[in-house]
Amino acid sequence: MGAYTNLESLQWLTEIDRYLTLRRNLGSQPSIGGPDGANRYLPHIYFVDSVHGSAVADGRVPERAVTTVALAQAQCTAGRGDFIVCLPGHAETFAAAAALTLSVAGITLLGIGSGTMRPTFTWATLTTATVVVSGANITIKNILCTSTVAALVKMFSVTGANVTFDAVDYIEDGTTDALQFILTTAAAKYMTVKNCSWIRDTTAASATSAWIGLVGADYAKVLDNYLTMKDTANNVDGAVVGATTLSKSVEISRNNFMFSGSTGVIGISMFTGTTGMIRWNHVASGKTAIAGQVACASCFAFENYVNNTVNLSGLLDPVVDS
Amino acid sequence: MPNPYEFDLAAVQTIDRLMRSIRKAGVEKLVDEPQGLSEGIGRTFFVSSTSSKSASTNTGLEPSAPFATLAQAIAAASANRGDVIYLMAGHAETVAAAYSINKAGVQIIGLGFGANRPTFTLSATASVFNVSAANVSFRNILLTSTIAAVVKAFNVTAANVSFDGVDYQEDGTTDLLQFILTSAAGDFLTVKNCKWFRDTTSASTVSAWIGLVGADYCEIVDNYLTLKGTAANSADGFVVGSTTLSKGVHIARNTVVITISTGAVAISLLASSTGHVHDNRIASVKTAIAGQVACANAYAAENYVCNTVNLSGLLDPVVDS
Repeated sequence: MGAYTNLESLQWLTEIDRYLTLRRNLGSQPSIGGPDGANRYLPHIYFVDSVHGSAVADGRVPERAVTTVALAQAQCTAGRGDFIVCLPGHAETFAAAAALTLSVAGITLLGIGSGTMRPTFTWATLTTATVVVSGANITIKNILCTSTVAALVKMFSVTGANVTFDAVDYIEDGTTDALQFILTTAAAKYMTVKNCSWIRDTTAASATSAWIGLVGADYAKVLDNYLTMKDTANNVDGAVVGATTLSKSVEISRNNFMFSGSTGVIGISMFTGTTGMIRWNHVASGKTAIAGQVACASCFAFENYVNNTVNLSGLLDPVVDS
Repeated sequence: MPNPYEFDLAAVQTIDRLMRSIRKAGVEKLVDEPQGLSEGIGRTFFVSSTSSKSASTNTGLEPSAPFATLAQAIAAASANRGDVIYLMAGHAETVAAAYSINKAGVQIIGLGFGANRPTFTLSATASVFNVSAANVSFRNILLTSTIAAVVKAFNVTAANVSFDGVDYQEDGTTDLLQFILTSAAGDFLTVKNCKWFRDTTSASTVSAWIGLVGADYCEIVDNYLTLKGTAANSADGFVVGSTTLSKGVHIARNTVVITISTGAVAISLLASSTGHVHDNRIASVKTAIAGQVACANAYAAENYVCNTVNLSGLLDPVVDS
């Protein structure tokens, strides 16, 4: 939940500046079109601003920002480490399946700003509206997400390897519900989800929710996230839920997951045969039987605590080894 | 302990270099935009009380010609543009009355370490920062007081306000009673990495370090508080809810030491408040050891409490089953 206010953007600016300095030191290559001395082999930076930008701009400096992530991505080169910087106040709506496909390998989509000034993505119109992340080595950081359609099936479909979500938060609009943050395919190896928060405690889910669905996503890391989710009675909701194909060597650590309304929650539910380490998580819900909220399959577990009653301390789950 | 703000000096230079690179890149300069930036791009302002070049008539856009006070920088900033105000190392200001922080989206960042951090001295019992704009953040700032019974340091009435590394150190004779008081508009408040040292001066009245009044989704994590209470039964607290419940609060990994008071309930959420309270360590001289973590309708895990030195903490509340 530390993601509510993200000042780490300064560190990213430091990173960006290193590239700018490096470019200048290597000398300008005007024929390539880099206004700040861009070198074709070094990362380029493209700015996105729906408020002040232009669809026909080049995106190379904030004053010439483009208006959508897709326009910026169209100028990126795979494998160069390009940055797409969404400026404070940028807003974008996704209203169809694969409304945006992040397909250029190695790009970093970075939001600048804090609180509600963060760049905001809204899923709308169709329950099947999605953003697809198909390129490898893509990082998405400091973005605020919301939805205006009930029972949104999922927000992100991840099919590329080494994709990272860092401080990508969801806050419900008060009347609609998004059911899932991320669904992977088996190609989504080495995915990292960290410092993300999900606030949906006003609107009861219209169907079963699985915040992150792991389908054969080997080496996935889910770390330091915060989730509060209002459910429908008896739904087997979960925060990290494996399905279809086992995932090898996952790490799920230091997360706080809270559910209300459902008596069937299994907060962490690994698919049979899944391996890895699950530790230091807290899962609270109204599950009828307190135990069984952390189901590790073939993973090792340490210090996971669960509740089903408020104002009492958590119980170790699963039970201690002997 | 490593200083988490170590990168800030570099960040200032970074931003400056970034701005220079943008200018150098041939961006069209506007007459009124000395950083060469367009309307929608955040500005960087500098504030120093020690620079001989400080003046309210400066633009504040260069470290070599800073503003003299934070108020001057706030006045120059624009809301919702992402402006950053750097308080330069050694900057000092006395706050003798209400101080308005009313530009949304402004980041106020102190430079420097230890006692060289920008310091605000509260000199009247009514000295207070009124934070009425959303998305404002404070970082790496030192507070102190020179008068007894300062009521509160920050009054937060807007959403998404953040405090990171905002510390208080008593002057040895006076006391500040409260760090932050919210209204119900103070949703998504974040308080992290803040330290509060008041272990010399007994409070002149009940202290509630953070007062939550209907502030939903607050995050209070990784703070350290040592607070000397007053006459025996003062019900001092670390996070105290009142008047209106708070939803979805997250209180974690805090270390709290309260002395003298035998009535301290360090974490005391208002009835029906929800959220998660975990991994806190609370020590006081409360007569009954249990009941120092009162969660209302929040879940709890791994909170430990003591009321005797040189003994290990006890799980509080009791374990679920």
